[in-house]
Amino acid sequence: MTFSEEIIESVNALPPVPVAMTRMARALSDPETDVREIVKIIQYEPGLTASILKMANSAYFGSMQAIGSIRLAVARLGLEQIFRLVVVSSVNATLQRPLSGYDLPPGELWRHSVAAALATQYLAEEIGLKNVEMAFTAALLHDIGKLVIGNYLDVDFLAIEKVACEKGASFEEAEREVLGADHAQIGAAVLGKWNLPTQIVAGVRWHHNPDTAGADSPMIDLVHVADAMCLSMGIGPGRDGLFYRPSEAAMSRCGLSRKTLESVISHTLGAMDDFAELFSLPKGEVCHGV
Amino acid sequence: MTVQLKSWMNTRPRNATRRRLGNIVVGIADMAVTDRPEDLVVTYSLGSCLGVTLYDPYIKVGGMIHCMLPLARVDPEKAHKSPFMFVDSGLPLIFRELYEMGAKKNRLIVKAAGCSQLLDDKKLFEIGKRNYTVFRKILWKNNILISGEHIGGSFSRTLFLDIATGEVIVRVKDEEVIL
Repeated sequence: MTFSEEIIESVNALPPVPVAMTRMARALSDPETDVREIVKIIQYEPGLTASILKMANSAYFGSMQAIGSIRLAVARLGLEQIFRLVVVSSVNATLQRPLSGYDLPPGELWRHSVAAALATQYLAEEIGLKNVEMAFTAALLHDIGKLVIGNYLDVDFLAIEKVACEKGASFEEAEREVLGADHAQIGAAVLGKWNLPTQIVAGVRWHHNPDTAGADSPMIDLVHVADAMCLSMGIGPGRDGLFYRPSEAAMSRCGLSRKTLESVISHTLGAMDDFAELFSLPKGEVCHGV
Repeated sequence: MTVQLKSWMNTRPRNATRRRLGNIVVGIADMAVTDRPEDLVVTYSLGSCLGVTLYDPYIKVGGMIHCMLPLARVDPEKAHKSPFMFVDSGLPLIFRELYEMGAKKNRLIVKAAGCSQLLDDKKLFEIGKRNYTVFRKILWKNNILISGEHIGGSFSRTLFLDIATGEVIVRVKDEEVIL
């Protein structure tokens, strides 16, 4: 089996996401969508319905009256917020896995992904981007390719690390040199298989190389900046550390100043704790084994 | 900024040393002080953040802080709620905590780790470097010397402080360095 065949096989081995997530993403991209349609999509999946209602009634949303139905949850929290809960619930278990190759303990990829998603949301609000929920989803899923490389492929991570350290290459360049593909390319393949909208796939595909995306997409730029910010903050750097190259062009396309970035960083950390509570995770640090 | 190792020779393979897990975990934008000899204080995933350990060997009291950003003025409200997030608001507080426990300024041994950088030729994210500059400035103004540091590069680091001995260890990649 060639390596690219091995990658395709690994992508197929990843657990599928609930149909509700992909259907809802597509429905939200269509301005003609009827809210009743979305409520129906969620109601067909009892597990998802239960988890959305549990979260909608949590202290995080501070609801005074109990929310007993998806229809009411959509009315109270809004479609965008419900979509975010659907996406996070759908990939929660997948992202919680440990990634020993990348030196990430259980839960750390999840923390990094959620932090990047929240940072993207704040950055999007700063620059007045519409369609925040698509950017949020792309940021949440941006490192899904690491799951394939770390869990399903027989990869010599020390060789990748050596290329990065000795040649001054970024980690994803080193992945391409050693493996023939990087985690962004593989992640995009996974999302393509999950039938997610192309704009989300593009956000994942180009999150380390926004300048070569060939499309003027603020969403790609924001996911790139948010990822760099979170790694820099120490949320989710594993073996790859901070071996990534931030794009000056992406920053200037979005018109982001250093002060804005630092302010978003401090907001993101606060929101992380609230979000962890929502999903009943331990606050702050996960347990790092020796 | 380059990796500065005062004690690069004191490296040992990662698994050859402590199997102990730190029992006091200092999260991002947090700090801890203790005088219990059985404590091992640890902070994980120092990227561009600054980790500082302080230890008074005479009374065996120590502390650790994990600051994320250099200056509190970027978000005064947050600095009020979470002063340890910033180097300029957090560092004086941990000194004060240790003084209250009996530590003396002239005995405190100060060591630091972190302040990594992305591969950032254009200096877009200089958070690590700026954290380090503010840290040095505060110590310099207060006539305090740094006894050991493991700063810069693009690595993620874990920092330990053993209260019984005052030993400070930085874990980076697959090695442990004694500062």
